Amino acid sequence: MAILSVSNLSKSYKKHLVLDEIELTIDGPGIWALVGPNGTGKTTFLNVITNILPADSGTVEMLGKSNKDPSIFKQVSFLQDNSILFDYLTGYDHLKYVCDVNQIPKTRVQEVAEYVGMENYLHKLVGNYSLGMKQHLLLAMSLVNHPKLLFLDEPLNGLDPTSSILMRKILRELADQGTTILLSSHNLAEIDRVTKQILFLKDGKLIEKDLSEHEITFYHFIVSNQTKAMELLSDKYETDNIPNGLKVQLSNHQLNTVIDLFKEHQIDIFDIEKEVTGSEKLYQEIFEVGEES
Amino acid sequence: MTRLIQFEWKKMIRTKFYILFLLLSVLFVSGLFLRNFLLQEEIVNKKIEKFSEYRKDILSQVVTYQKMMEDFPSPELEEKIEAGLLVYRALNQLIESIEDGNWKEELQYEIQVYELAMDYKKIEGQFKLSEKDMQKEIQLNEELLKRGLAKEDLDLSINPPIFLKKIVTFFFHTFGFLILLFLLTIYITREFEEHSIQIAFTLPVSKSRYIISKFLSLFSAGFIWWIAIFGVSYLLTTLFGTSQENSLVYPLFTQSGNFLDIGDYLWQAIGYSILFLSFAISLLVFFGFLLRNTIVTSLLVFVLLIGNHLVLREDITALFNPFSYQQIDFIILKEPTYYSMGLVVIFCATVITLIFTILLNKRRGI
Repeated sequence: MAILSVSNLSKSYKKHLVLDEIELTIDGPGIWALVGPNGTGKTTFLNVITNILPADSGTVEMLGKSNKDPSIFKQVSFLQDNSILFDYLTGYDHLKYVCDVNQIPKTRVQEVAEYVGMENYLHKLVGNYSLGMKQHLLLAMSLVNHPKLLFLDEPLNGLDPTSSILMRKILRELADQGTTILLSSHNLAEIDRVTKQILFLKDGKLIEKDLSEHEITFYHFIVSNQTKAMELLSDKYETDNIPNGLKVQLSNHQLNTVIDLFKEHQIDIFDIEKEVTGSEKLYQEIFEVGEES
Repeated sequence: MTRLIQFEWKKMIRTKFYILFLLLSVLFVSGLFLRNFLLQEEIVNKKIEKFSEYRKDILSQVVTYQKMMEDFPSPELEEKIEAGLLVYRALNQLIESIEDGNWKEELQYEIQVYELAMDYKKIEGQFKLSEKDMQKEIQLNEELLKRGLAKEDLDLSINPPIFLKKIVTFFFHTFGFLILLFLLTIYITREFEEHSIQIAFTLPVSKSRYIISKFLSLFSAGFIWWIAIFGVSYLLTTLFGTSQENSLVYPLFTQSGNFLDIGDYLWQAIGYSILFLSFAISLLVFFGFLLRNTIVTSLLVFVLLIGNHLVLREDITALFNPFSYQQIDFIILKEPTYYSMGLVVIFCATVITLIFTILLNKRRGI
């Protein structure tokens, strides 16, 4: 049984076709990222598969049930935009409501609040929450029912670095525990950190890509003589100046060659940091976006 | 379902609009009672003033006839003077009985005044009330004497059933319902406008259950408003008002000229007001979920209720039109026989409206 099965799914607004006979099957746990420029229909896609918006045609099944059956939300959650929250209620009120409707004991409220790190402001009015606090609450609401399938619409929006790290940690933990996660995001660097399975939404169609096949590794070197190091590498490798050092695109075996080269020319290496990327390159290829000059 | 209704109540309480409205309504009822309480003396003064006016008018006519008699004596003028003096004397006795606070004599003398005034009018004398009005007053006074009840001022009375009737006239009519509906609209449409409805759409709750729970929570809010208004009115009049024995059989004139006991009137008012409240709220839920916009929904509800209000002003009612029951005082006194069937009509209209709401929204998204 597929966890998520989307077949022939179409949706248009007036004459504008947003989703065009989309097919998608996700069989097991893991994290999938839904990527596309603004206005391509990422939120519409998530709204249609969760039946918040009716599809023009096609079928969606989650965990063996049609998306039209509201009981799927006992095992499925959807983290939506923070505008859905009631400003005049507290975080606790929201979580208790989700517990009540799911017939889950209210002890889960405290549990999930602690898990996402919002216990300190649980009893404050949502109207006084920052953007990041709202994202925490939305995440907590979507975790109340221990979902097997979790949809997240721009979950990393408005998060400070600490919250981003926590969010990534939670998503990885959930995936490890067997949850299937489909998240939409603009933040390609964040996507690189949480998943290698990307769904690009272009012209109403989904393009599935495995990032591990398109990975690019950069090494950041902090060296004693940046100018000389640049001269040595710029002819052979793609190299860029960064504050106090160089950013060089290398494969693993090329790293040792570069280290040997620096030693040979008496350039001291103070620090090396690895950065793996790929979604941005793929994004540029798929959406035909040129490099900024 | 209970949990959904609890959450709706939490929202209503936290936004404070509803609580404020409830408090204002209670304050208004209390204010109305206080005004009536303070104007009790005024009831007697008003009556004395009214009959003194009649007396003065009759007296000036008699003096004029007497002067005319001196110049042009005639049997017709003599007859007019005699009849006028009879009305004048009866009015004197009536005013005295009012001042003495003897309600039985007051009713009897009032009957006598009107009977004599009708005779006086037959010989071309003038009296401020029409014959039809005087006959109605005679009929009412005779009925009151038969039932052993003093006459009440329907506007200023603080007798429990009479004051409750005043409250029905004041709150349970087009404008009272409209104010309540305007307030409750925001609890439906604002959730669409602010997208918070999407929380409910991603929970294991069917749309039909959600719509019904919304209806029930708004209806319970309306019902609590109803209880607050009736409860405070009853409490104030019972504790601080005046009461008569058998006051529940106080006769009210129906439009057809028959009498309806005020007890029966209140019983009908209770049934109609609760059921019409449910119909009005089901209508609000229907338009709220259909239009999803506070201003448009409020405007449509306004046009619908005001349109029907204008129809009712033209005296047009129909047993099977649920909107005929929006002016509760009017429908009870115009068509007291509608009652049981009227309740069935309003109940069916509520159920049908809710079924339509569910059907129209079953496949609709945000």
